[in-house]
Amino acid sequence: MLRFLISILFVQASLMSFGQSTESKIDSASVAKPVQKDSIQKAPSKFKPTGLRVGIDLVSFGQGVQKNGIRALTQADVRQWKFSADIDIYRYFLNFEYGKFERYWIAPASEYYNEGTFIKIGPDVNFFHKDPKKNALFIGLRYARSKYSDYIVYDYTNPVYGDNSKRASNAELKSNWFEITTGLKVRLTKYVWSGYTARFKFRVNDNYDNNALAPHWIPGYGAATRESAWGLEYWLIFRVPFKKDKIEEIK
Amino acid sequence: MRKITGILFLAYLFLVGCNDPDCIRLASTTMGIGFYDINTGDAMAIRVNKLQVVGIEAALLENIESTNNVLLPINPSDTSIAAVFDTEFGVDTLIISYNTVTRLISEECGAEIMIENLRKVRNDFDSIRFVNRSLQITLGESNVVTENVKIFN
Repeated sequence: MLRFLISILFVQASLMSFGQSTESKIDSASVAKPVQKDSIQKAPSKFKPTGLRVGIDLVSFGQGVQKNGIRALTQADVRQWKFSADIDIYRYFLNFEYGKFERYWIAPASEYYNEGTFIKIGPDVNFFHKDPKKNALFIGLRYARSKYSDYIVYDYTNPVYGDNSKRASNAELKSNWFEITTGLKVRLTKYVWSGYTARFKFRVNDNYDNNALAPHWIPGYGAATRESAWGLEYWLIFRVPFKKDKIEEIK
Repeated sequence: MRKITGILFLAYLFLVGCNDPDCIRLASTTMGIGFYDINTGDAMAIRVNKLQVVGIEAALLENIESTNNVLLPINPSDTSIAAVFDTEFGVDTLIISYNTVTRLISEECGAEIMIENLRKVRNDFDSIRFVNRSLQITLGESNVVTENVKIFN
């Protein structure tokens, strides 16, 4: 699957370079025909990125607030932040996502802590690429990696050996998985967008066989015992255009 | 399209938090041992004069006329168990090591300790065979301890 993603990236890169080389060939050929030069040079390459979008997930932020109220901003037992960035290349988006996760689970006679970061990278295909307002309806793929650590402190009662307390931990865990994504990105104002991404996560791999502590959670994925998981983010997005948008002209 | 994203966001907020698993515990700290005939492979009832586990003062069993299985309590804070069987076949020592794995089930259920990867360290019986290297219970009316080791005499 990683090869497939890399292949897609290479295809995109080659398409971009093809677009550029075609443009340069036309430029050199047009020297002899100055009449056509102006009209060709004005036509922008459709593979040229038009802007960078940077987003923050409101769902992960909202989960902490739902559980702990407004104090989640500073001292919650759940702290999670997800950021995204995408760049458009014709009808494709190249996406990069980064997240940070930290959470305490306070359970009967035990306390579990998990902390880590994750990244996700992959392309989306936009079915609304001709929309002048640059709204997007997309499907895509992601390759995701997470690096995290955890520990548990717990008391137990044994009818033969008596009561005792134990601590178990994992210093450095790594997991990777794939995701199929779909969602919307909608323009609210000139620079502000919103949108959601729904994702199906699968093929999770990890490195914790025979550890004294079986991880409960994989940051960015979800419950570690599940072979697949669903996720949803609601993004508040800020778009930085690389040049003056046609959107305003249409408006 | 703005309305659609707003509605989806609200719908998701209702679903957030409805995600906790059931409190099903299958882990056990009791090892099931069965006695079998080395020639036929059938379960065999034997006389147990005394069964002693190192680390426990009192004998687990004494003067049992006939039984075809015994249960050994595993210490989650240790990494092996040594048991001395005084039976009609003589005095035999069995030492088995294991790994303890802890996992959090959920905030409501708490943690559980799983005893896994049972392996032989010493055996004085004719033969033993591991049939289940993890300690588990089978859920049911009486939550029966799964048999882990077959001892052949």
